[in-house]
Amino acid sequence: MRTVLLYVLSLVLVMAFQLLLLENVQLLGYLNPYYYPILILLWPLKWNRGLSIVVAFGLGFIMDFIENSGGLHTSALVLLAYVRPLLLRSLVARAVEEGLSVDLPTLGPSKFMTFTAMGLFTFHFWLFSLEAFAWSEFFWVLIRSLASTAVSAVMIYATQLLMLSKE
Amino acid sequence: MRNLFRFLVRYHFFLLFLVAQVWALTSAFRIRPYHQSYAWNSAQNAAASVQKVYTDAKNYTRLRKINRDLAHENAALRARLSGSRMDETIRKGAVQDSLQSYTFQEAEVINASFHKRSNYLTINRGFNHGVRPGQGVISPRGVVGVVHEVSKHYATVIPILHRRTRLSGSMARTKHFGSVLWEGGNHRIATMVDVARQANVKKGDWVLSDTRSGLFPSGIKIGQVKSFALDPSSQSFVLDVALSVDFAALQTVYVVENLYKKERRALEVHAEPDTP
Repeated sequence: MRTVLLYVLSLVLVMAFQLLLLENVQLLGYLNPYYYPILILLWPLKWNRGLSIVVAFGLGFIMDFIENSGGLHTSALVLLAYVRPLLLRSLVARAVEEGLSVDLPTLGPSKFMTFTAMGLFTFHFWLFSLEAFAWSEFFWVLIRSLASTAVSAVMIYATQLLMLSKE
Repeated sequence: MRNLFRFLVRYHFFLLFLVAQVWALTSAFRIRPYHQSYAWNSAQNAAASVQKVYTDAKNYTRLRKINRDLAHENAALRARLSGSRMDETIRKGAVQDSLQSYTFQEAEVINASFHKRSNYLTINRGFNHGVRPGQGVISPRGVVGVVHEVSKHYATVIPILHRRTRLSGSMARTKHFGSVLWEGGNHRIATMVDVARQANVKKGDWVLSDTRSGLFPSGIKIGQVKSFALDPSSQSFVLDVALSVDFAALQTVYVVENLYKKERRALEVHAEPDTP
């Protein structure tokens, strides 16, 4: 119960941070980092996987509503929610069965970063590809995805360190 | 039946994923007619009013710059008043007359993006204020874009920074036409294509709006030529244009209504060539 409340609280905080602050930040002129996928990325494996897809759908819907992006965010976040257990399983063989918590202390720095980077890249690459929707812009999409992934990953890593130091 | 049930249980995550994905993608790529209102869009009031509160706060910190822009525009307009011109015509029974053909509705940008491949603006004027889809939008600094969708109190605008944008522009010095579009990336640079080879383009030339589209009065700034090259296949110039509007800092805009649009459309419909 306590973890659910904490999750709802962090959901509100993360979305407020994304919508009020990050939507208005741009790095190098065009790069706009997305931090809110952390809510799906770190979804505890003990919790229902179907629910994570439903929550991803809801969060994506909110982002699309605010950004006028049709269903692009919904699509990318739902994809992330679906492939996430597969990514984790590729790093830790029995992660899903054991219901590991997805955080820095459990996975260790290198696995945590690999997982975060893979997840975020999936999200950004899917999002930007659909947004551009042209082969001619492939490299541009790739560069934007890599850069955004790097920035978001660093932010998520920093969040984890911050939570560690609190405990 | 039992097999179907087992299939559903076994793959229910995947099916859930599939349903959500199909729904998201169809709403992203469904063709949206201009006038059709659309369920999740910031022209809808809920999102727009939330954004308004936030933008109001943000704009308060930019008042100095906004005032300067408006003062610049006032100065330019003052220079165009008849009182500030010397009239050298000899009136010999000449009738001086003019009809207003454009009206302007001021509006405030309450939401904007510029870092995506296709960006949108939301403005705080809508159907009730006379804004209609397809009208042009300009700012004190130059051309902004075209109204996309309209609700009672708000409207969304497709700015130059959009995949589908193709604005007609003309070179200020030589009057040659071209189309302005945006290839993504830097939000200060657009591309102008199909400028005739005879145009004798120079760096620093102004690109202005023209009346071919009927969206804007002629002579509104679009940008300045930054670099140019001759496209060998079409034998026309391709220009990099430094946009005069900074879409990262845009507040006051005007929605342009062309009072003679209908009449012109009705006439031009007959002149359009058969499309294959």
